[in-house]
Amino acid sequence: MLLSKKIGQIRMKLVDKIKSNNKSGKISFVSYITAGDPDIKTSLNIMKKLAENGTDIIELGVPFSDPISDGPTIQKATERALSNKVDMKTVLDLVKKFRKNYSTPIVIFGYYNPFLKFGLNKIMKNIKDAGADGVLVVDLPPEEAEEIQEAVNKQNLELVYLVAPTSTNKRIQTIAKLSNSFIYLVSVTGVTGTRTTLDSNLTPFIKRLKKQTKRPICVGFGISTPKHVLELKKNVDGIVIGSAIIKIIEENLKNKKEIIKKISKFSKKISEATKI
Amino acid sequence: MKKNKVTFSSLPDSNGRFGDYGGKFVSETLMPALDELEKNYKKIKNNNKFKKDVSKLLKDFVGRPTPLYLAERTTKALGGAKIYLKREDLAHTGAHKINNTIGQAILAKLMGKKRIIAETGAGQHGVATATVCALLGLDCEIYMGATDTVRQSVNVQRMELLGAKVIPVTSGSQTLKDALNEALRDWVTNVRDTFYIIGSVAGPHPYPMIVRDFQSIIGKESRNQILKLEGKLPDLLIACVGGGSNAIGLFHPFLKDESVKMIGVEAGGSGIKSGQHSATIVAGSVGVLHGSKTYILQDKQGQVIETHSVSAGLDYPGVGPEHSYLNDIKRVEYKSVNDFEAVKALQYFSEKEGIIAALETSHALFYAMKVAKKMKKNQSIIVNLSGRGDKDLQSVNAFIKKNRSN
Repeated sequence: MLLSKKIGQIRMKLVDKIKSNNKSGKISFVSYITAGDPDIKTSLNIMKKLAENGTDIIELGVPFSDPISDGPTIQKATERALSNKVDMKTVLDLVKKFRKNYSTPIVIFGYYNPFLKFGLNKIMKNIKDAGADGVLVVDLPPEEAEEIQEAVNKQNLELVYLVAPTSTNKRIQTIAKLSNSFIYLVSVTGVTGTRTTLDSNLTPFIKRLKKQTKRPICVGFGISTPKHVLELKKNVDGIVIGSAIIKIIEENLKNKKEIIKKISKFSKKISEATKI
Repeated sequence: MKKNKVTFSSLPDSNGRFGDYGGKFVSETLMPALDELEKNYKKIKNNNKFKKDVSKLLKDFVGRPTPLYLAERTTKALGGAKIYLKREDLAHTGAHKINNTIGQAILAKLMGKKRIIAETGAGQHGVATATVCALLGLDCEIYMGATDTVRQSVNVQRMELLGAKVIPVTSGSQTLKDALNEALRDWVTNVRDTFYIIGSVAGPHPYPMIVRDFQSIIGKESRNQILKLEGKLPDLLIACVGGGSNAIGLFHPFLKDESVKMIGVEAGGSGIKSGQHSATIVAGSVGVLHGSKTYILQDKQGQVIETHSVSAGLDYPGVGPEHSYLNDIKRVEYKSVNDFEAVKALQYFSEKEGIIAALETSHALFYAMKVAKKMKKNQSIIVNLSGRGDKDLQSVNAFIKKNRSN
C-alpha cells in the first residue's frame, strides 16, 4: 500500500499483518519473486505493482547458485538474477528503494550460504536497516538455526520456519516453539513449482499442524491459481505464490511492460480470491 | 602427547558434527528421512546378520580383500620409500565405490525402500550403485552431469546395461555438483519410497559417517596387510580427494596411529592460480553446500563457483566435512596435483607397472612419486589405488592431443 496515499498506514510485523487481515475478512497473500529477475529495475517495479494490487507480504528471493529446493521455474529465475550480478547488497538496495513509498512487509528468502558468507550478525543488521521484516532460510532446519535465530532476535526480525508433510508432530512442536513468526507449510513433498491440483493429503496435514500450534499458517509450494486459494482459505491464514508469478516473467522476457501488466492483473485476481 | 586427545571414533557427535563441520543443512522435508536413516543405520550396523550379509558379498561378489601390492619398479627407480598400492582397482566394477553401495543398498532393502537414486561424477559410483541394484533387484536411477556423460561415456553404457536409468543433468556446470543438486531434488520429491545412496563422504549427516564406515574396510585391510608385509606401520598414506570417500576409507583406521602421516591430494586442474581447479581445502573457504558445513569453492558473495579437473570424479566444489576437520586439526595434510601431472603419473604407472589407474587416482600417484624419493629406503607409503583407468582413455587421449597441439 502506498504510504503517501493511505493515512495512518503503519508498518506491521508479519504476524500482526496476517492477524489484521484475518480480522478484516481475508487470508494473506504472499508473493515470491527472485530479486533481480528479469533485471533489477523491473524487479522493483514488480514489487511496487504487487503491493498496489493486493499482495500482503512480499517474499524477496536472494539468488543462489545451487537452489536444491527449487523446481525448474525458480532455478531459471535464479540464473537470470545471477547473470545480472545480483548479490545481497543488490537485494537490500531493492528493499530500501521500495521502502521509500511502500509499507508492505518483506521477507528475505534464501539459502544459507550467502547469509553465512556475509556474516550472520552483519547481514541481519543490514536487512533490518534496509527495512525488511523477516527472514526465511530454506535449507536451515531448527537443528542448525541457533546462530541465525540469535542474530535475527538481536535485530527484532522474524525468522520463518518451514513445516513439511513429512514433519513428525514432535518436530512440528519444536518448530512452533522456536518460531516468532508465521509457519510456512510446504504443501507437497517436493520442490517449488506450479501444480494443477492440490495434494489430496494437504487438508489432513493442515488439520494435523493446527493441533500442534496456534501460530498463523501460510501454505506454499504448488499454489498457483485462484481455485487453489478458494479451496484453501477456510483452513489457513495465508497462501504463498511464487512459480506462477515467475512464469509470467519467463514467458514475457522480451516485453517488460507486459510482465508488469500481467503480474498486476494476476496479483489482483489472487487477492480477490483471498477474501472470505 | 597432546592434552586433549581426540577420539576419532566418537565423531561425528550427536549433531552430526566433526568439530564445527558437517551437520544437516537441508530443508525440513528431508529432516525426518535423515533421522529415519540414522536411526535405522545405528540399529542395523551392529546386527550380526547385516554384518555377515555385507562381508559375504564383499568377499564373494566384490573380491575382497583387495591386495596390498608393492610397486617394485617404481620404488627402485625413485630410490626412496617403498610404494605400496592398495588395489581397489581390482574390486568388482573397478573402484572402491562398491564397498559403500553394497552396505547402503542392503540397508535400503531392510528399510523397505524399493527405489534407489544416486549421483555420479566419473560414473564409478553410478556403476557401483547400478551393479548392486541389479544384484538385489532394486529400481535404480542415476543422475549424471551432461558433461560427464560425454567424457565418461563408457560408464554410461555400463550403467544402462546393468538396467539403470541414467538421467543427464543439464543445469549449472553439468558436472557432479549439479548431479547432486538434481538427486537431492528427486529425493525431496520421492522421499517416502526412495533411498538416496550418496557416493562420497559428503552431504548431510548421517551420510558422511555411513559412507566412511563402509569405506573404512580399505584402511582396516591395509593396516593388517602392511603389518604382515613390513612388520610395522607405514610412514605415509596418500589418497586423492574429491568428496573424499576413498581417502577417508584408507585414513580412518590409522588416525589414532600418531606416527602415520597422511596426505590428501586434491585436483589442481589447470593450476591453483588459474582459478580452474577443484582444490577445495587447498584453495577454498568455509561454507555450506549440499547439506554440510565444510570447505567449499565460492566467490565473495557465497555463490558456489564452477570447478575444473581433467578427472570427472574430482570435479566437485565441496569436500567431506571430516576432511575439513582433519585439515584444521592438522592430522591430515592436503595438497594439490594438476591435470598435467596426473596424466603424467597415469602414463608412468601404465608403462612401468602395468597398471592403468583412474585419472582421479593418478593425482595421488603423482604425489607419491614426488615424496617417495625424499624418503628413506626403510620407510613405506601406502597409496590408495582407488580405481582403474579404462573409463578415462578418451579423456586422456584428448588431453594429450590438446597439449601437444598447444
